[in-house]
Amino acid sequence: MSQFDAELLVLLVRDFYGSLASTVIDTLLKEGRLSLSLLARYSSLSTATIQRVLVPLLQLRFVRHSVFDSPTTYVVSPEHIYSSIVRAGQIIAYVDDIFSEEESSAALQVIKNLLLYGHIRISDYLSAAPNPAASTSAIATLLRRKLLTTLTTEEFAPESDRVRALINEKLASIPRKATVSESKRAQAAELEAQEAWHRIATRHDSLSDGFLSSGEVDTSVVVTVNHEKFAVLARSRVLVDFAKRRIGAVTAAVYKHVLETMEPRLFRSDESRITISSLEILKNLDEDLDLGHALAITSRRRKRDSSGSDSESSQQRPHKRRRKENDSSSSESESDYEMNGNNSKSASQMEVLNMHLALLCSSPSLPFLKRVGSKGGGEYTIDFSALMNSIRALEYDKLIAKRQGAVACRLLRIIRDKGRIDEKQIAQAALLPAKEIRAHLTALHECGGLDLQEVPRGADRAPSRTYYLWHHRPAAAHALMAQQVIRAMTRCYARVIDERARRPGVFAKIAREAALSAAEVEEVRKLRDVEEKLVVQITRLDRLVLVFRDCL
Amino acid sequence: MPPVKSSYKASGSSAAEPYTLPSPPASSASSSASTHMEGLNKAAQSLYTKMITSNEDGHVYTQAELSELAGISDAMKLMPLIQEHMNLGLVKMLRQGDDLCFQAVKKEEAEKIQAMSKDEAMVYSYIESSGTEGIWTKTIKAKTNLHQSVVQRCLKSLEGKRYIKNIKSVKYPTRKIYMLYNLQPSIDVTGGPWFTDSELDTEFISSLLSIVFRFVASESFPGDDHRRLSVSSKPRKRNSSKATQHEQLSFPASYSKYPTVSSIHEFVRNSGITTVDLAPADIKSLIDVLVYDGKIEPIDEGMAYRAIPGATPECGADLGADAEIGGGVVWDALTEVPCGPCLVSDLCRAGGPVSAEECIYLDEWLIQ
Repeated sequence: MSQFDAELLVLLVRDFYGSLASTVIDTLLKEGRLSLSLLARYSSLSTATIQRVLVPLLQLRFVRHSVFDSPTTYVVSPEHIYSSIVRAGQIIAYVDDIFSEEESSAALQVIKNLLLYGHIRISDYLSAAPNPAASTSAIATLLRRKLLTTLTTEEFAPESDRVRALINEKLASIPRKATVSESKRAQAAELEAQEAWHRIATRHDSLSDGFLSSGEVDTSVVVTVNHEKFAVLARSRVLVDFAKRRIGAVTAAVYKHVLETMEPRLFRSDESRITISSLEILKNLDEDLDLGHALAITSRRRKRDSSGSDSESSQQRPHKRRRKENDSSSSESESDYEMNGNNSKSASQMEVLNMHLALLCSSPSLPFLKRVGSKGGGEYTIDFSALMNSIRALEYDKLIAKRQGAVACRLLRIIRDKGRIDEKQIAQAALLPAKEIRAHLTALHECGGLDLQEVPRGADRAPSRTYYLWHHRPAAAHALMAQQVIRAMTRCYARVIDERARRPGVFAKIAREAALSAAEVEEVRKLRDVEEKLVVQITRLDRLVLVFRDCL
Repeated sequence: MPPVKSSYKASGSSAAEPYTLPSPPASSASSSASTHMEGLNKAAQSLYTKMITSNEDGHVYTQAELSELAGISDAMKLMPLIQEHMNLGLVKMLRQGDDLCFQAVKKEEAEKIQAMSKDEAMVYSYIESSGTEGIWTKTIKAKTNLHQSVVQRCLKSLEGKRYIKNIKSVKYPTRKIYMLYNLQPSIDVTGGPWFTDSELDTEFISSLLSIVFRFVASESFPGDDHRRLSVSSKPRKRNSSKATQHEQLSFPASYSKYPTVSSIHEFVRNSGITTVDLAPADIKSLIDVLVYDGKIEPIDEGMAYRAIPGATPECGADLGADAEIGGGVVWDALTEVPCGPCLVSDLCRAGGPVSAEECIYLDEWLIQ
């Protein structure tokens, strides 16, 4: 939790929930876990006021309360605040996307209410909803897709408390023995607790969670938005974008389908290793997707008789021999590489699909997919952590290239590749004069991309007799970059608030629902433009936060 | 004069050290080749001819070899012959370990040395022994024990006669280094093909990088060569209704004709772009730079290379990110907003000297 994270959260909470709420959040972020009386002392608010503010904050689960301490203490859940506010728009847009038009209004209502109130008991919601039948079916769909998740009372307590309690419980259950050392006992308890915690953390993953045995929605459960699942979906979009840029639109569409096929089994972004087969992928693949056209494939007929002089010459310049689109049919037999037309579509759809999947496997620097077996036409998996590592590195490189120039980026990538390396060798690998790279290395050092290690050759530590080795620590560098992104978001949002404050008259009128003059309407329109630009930028910055901070 | 050690690295010969220097000629400096040979007796003449012809240039003879060559087993009888040679500078004495060895010197070479003054000959011998590495003037001074001004005078006169030349070393750009006029400096001194006049030729490198990239890119995508290279050209449209689907055209993953180091090497050599002789290792370092720039990527465990879609041949990194291939999103949300590259964002806070509320850069950006 850095200064910038805190700044952003306080700003957001102040704008959405008022300054009292933001004062409480600010105090809790600055001081850490506090009891009510201490909270009152540090925030200079009365206990009664704080209690009134805490109710909605607890309801939204922005603040968690510890049930194990007495008096009860309060802790902020920063990730929850961040995703509930910053990602709200994306969540709504995504839900709007997956529902058909007539269903979407009910589903959107559900999601908006949940974002507003934090959590809702289904029966309570249905009794107030204008169209209970549509709402029930929307909730059922959302629950089945894991976009909503059920909530238990324990989940209002901080996670760390719950893990600690679990460890204590396990520790108590292991009897003290003279033959077993205390540290060993603690270790065993921790191990057991870890297993137990895994069971608890994944208990909402069951497909029947929130449903009665009859298959109907259990209206007695409390539901909330499943931010973990939405992070998975956002990550999928990032991956598809990358596939589109690195390979092409058609392969990206295939990749999107692969991710969608995997999606029901992906519950959170730190989980990985789901294997699916080509057969599964092919089953629901969009029929209209013309896979063959995107590949320059050697046609089978030509493959068979391409021998001797023909294949030899084709080795030299294969692309020259590809059939031109408008060419007459007479040239068809002469070409080695030709587009697979529609005629062969049905026969070799599977084959072509596998070619696209192979293309996704083919880049060692960006392993979109990994082939692990040959069952069902080929088994594939995605090593999300490795893939996200490459993507993070690429994103980082790009930001460095933009800010510090191409040379700095080249140097950074050399250092990442070689590990610890001294200036002379960097210059050699980069084919640049040593004089020129020094400034770039210092600039990279300044922005946290590089670290310098001194290795003295003698006991005197004289600078002239010291090796200076540059190296790059990805985790630290990426965390710093995430901080800078969050800082930029904070500034953007501060500006949004300021833009509104600059036009107090108009807002007062809007609040009174008074009629606006033409000039005022224009004023509001301008304001909305500015707001939109800034908020869109914040959303785009949020994607970087997703890459650098959330999908580790 | 005491024997002086020097690192002797004449081309091809073993690590022998000059033991003594040819004594100055008794006759005048204007002696010709014929007078040289005339100065020798028959036995000495035939021994010299045998030494020159029986082995390749610069062969180092031991005493045993010499006596076999001359047909004289008695060392005392061999010695005057050798002495005669040495007087005329036709044989050089070297030390190899603890043994004394001899090396025949070509007549022309001997004449050249005979024509020099004693100091010049000494300086020359050290420069000669430094081979293609060259020798620093300070080293010459230390080894010859001559005064600075004497060394300077010798170097000047030798340079004037075009016996030696001044070269620049990449490693020590400030040192004055000399080597024989007819030799080419070694790679250690010149720094290899990337250096011109002992400076890294960035212009040359960047144009080669761009050429290699263009070649790899032209072999990486099917279709006409330049479509994917230029950012400005619009993606090809076939059927406008299906345009989105046709924006991709790739080789299948099994495609095996992506360029390799050797094929790129061949391309560069045959293209006649440069007269500089580039080794495959040099090409490999160019390729590595392109990989570091994010323009190409190694595939098949580094056996072959292919271009990254969207990369441009301009020098510098672009990671294939900015060109909108297939309608991809441009992804630099951080640098776009003025707060990203802002230099004073550490000072930026509400009510501070700089703030988001009063930032003129944000003002500008919002108006855009």
